[in-house]
Amino acid sequence: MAEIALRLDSTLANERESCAFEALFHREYSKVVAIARRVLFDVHAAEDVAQDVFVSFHRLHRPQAAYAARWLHVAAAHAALNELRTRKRRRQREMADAVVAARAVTPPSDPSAAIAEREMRDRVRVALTRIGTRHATALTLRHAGLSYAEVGAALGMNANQVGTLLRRAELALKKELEDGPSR
Amino acid sequence: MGHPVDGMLRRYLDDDRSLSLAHAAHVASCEACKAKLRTMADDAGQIEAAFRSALRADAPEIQDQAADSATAWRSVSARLARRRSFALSGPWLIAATAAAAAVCLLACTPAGTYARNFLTIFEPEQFVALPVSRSEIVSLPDLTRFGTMTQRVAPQVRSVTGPAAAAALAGFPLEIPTWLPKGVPSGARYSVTSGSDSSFTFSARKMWATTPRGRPQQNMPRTLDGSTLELRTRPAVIVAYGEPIAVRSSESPPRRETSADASRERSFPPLVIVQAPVPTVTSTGATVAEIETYLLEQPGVSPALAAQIRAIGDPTTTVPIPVPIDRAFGQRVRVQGVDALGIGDDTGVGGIVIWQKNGVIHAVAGQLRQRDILAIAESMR
Repeated sequence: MAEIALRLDSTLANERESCAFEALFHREYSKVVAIARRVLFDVHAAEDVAQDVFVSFHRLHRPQAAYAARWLHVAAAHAALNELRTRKRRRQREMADAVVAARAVTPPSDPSAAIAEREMRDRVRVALTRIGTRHATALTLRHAGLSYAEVGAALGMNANQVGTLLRRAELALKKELEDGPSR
Repeated sequence: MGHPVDGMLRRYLDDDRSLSLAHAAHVASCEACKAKLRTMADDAGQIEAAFRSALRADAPEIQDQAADSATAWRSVSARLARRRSFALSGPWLIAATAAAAAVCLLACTPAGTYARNFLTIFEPEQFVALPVSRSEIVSLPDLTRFGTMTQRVAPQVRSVTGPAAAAALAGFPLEIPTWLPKGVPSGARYSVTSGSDSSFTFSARKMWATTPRGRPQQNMPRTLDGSTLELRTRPAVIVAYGEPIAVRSSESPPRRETSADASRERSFPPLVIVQAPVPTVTSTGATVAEIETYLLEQPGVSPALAAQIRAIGDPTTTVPIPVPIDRAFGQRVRVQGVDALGIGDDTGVGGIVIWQKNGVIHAVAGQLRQRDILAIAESMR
């Protein structure tokens, strides 16, 4: 009888954690994708990264952990930056970009604008890998729509410190964008 | 009322209620603050425009809110169901990690630089992260196929009473942190591991004997066959703070815990500091170029990984540390005026910082935020 009770208790606990993880997933998924997208500028690659991040979280942590959301946010930025830095994946992504571009049914209304936007995307990607992880993380979290409080929670600082970090990150990114890829 | 600091002004740009009434009144009447705000707004606007432009190059029709979490959930839950549950201590991971470490060590050790003298000194000065995917680790060749590893002297661990005893036994001056974060007890346990002496002898015969029939295999160069690398380590000191607490294996599923799963949990103290004199590596023949070329061309070593290892700077002073790209992030940091490698983040899950100074390798690791680990490292005297 005691064994049955223990098994039942264990089953219920597992079920509760499953539900909690699923709820966490639905609550945070779009935000995690948005963060990864601010690094990769490729929504499909960002979704892949987001799913990897949730799988990693599931391996390591309980979904009820108080730090769950902030862990996911930082991990999304870091994983996306790692993705950019991995040359093999980068090549695959560029090939995928080419395929997507080739498949485009509707040609862009302004081809020169489309070229400029692609160039800017490539420059921002490169610049983000050069300005340091902390700066890049702060920028991507903020541009993904996280509040100062959420960015602060993710990075372990208060809101005014986020302002300082954000300001420095913007200056660093601006400098990288101005210097261009010649460096 | 003085000028608000830059961080407050930057926040004020995004939230005009973030300043106190007094600060807001000051900014409204201060030309310097207003000029600073205009500059900040201009810079922030340029970055915002760059992000918007880059996003338009992606798929502007797809909004962030449209991320289909239902479909994604089906994919993730299927992956979780498929996932094999193997513990971090599983033999496959030990073998793969050992192989990765050995490949890196051998590929990046200046073995053979002074081959004519039959002596090579390897002195790591800095460590760099080598991002590797799980598939790259798993597919690495088993190094034991290429020769025989012999351990003549195995390291022994001995507990000692304190830092003075540890330093006396280890034979080098010990550094102790002068600052610890809240939650880490100041009491520490000291132990010293004795030195070790091991060698690896390349063997073409063993390589061919263990190559499955029909599998492609690079021939072992004559200069490698029979060459021996010798690794000697000297006594190292391990300082552990706090009682060991259970840490979930990074591979075992934390949610499916049963009494059997509990045995898969590993125990680590909240903070561990290791200090060890740099190891000595000698070679009896093969050159570093030959070892690197041969090992990196083996089936199983991905071209991307091989390129990354080749791209690392001076192999006589730089040690690559494999970092799984899906679990951790490595970056260069400064500790006590020298370059160091930091792995981890500020989530408090855990991290490590490792550096070499004055001929001693230092590693500070713990279930702490990366910045706390760095502060501990910086405080060591």
